[in-house]
Amino acid sequence: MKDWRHATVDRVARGVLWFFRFLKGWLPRMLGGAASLVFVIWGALGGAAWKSGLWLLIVGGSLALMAFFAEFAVQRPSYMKLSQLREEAERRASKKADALENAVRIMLVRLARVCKLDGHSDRMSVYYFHDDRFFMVARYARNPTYDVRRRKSYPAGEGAIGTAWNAEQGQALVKMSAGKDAWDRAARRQGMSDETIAGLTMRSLGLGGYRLEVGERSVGVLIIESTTPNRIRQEHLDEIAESPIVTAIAELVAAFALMTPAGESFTSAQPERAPRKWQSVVRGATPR
Amino acid sequence: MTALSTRTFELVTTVTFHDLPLAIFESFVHRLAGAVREAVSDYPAVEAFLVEPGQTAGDINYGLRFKAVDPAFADDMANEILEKAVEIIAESDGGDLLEAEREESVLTLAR
Repeated sequence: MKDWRHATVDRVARGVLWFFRFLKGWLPRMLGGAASLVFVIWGALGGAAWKSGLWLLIVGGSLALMAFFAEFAVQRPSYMKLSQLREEAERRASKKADALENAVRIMLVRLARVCKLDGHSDRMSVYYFHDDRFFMVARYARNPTYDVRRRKSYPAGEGAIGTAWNAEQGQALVKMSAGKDAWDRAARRQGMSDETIAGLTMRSLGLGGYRLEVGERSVGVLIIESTTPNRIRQEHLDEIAESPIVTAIAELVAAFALMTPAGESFTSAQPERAPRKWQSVVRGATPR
Repeated sequence: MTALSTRTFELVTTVTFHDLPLAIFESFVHRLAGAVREAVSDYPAVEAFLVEPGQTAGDINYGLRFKAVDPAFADDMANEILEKAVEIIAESDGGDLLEAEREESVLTLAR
């Protein structure tokens, strides 16, 4: 009974609050609109406007004055002030994002050294998942050619990022063919478009993907890659899985994702699983 | 190394037989599955296998689920099994060995 009353009072209070916010937001426009309407009616009176319709002119003028004062007195903060506040908030968010990005990059440098993947052919990147796409948080490569960022976001099902994200245990090791045509075919099979393939600066021959998780939530993917054949191995993924640096990176990625406009939904999608028809091996029988 | 021996991995790779006519592709996939089943019987580490048509015409997805094998040797093992399977098909046909080309591969930790 008590809960029911509280819920009702709460609903009414929220309704009243909403009404006053609505009124405050729309009051200058409503008063201005009403003034215009009264002036139109007064103008339509023709010759009688200055005699019997004079009161309409007074009412219209009063409404217009009230609209003018409401714009300054009631609607606070002003539109100008709100614009300034928004710009300031965006600047602050950008600075915080830059600080987080730098922090993750420093950790990637340390991780590359620990994993001995800081050669001229290697690269490490961290992505966070949001709304069916991956967005890059930070990247580290000793080679400046590989350190560039060309794309802002990546589709969830594309390449080694998508493979690791969708893998049951969140780990995937991808080996690509060395030949250009075979490499392109493999990339297409992994969901990359011809345009994307043409724009790649690094044609990695080995990639390792590790899904970043915080508690029970998947937040992003860490990718290690190299243009040297057979350089990326399972041992690297094992080292990453045990590394406290990666745990810290995952925490930062979760914080980074929450700073995006709709970051609270960044973990809503569940990893997809492509069904494969595995056949169990039955020992002692070899049916043809 | 102990951890490696207790974990299960899945290796899936794309295989192309360039000399294989597309008209007999589906029946060949079925025969390859049978041959792989026979070939893996000599590999106790292999728990399951996968042979199915790939995403594009002429491609075959070939995979092995294995335990107690260092993943560094998974590719060699997959190559050996595939070669044996192709030999089994060639023996039963009495024809030439078809040349298989393995392209990209994906190794995932299954459990």
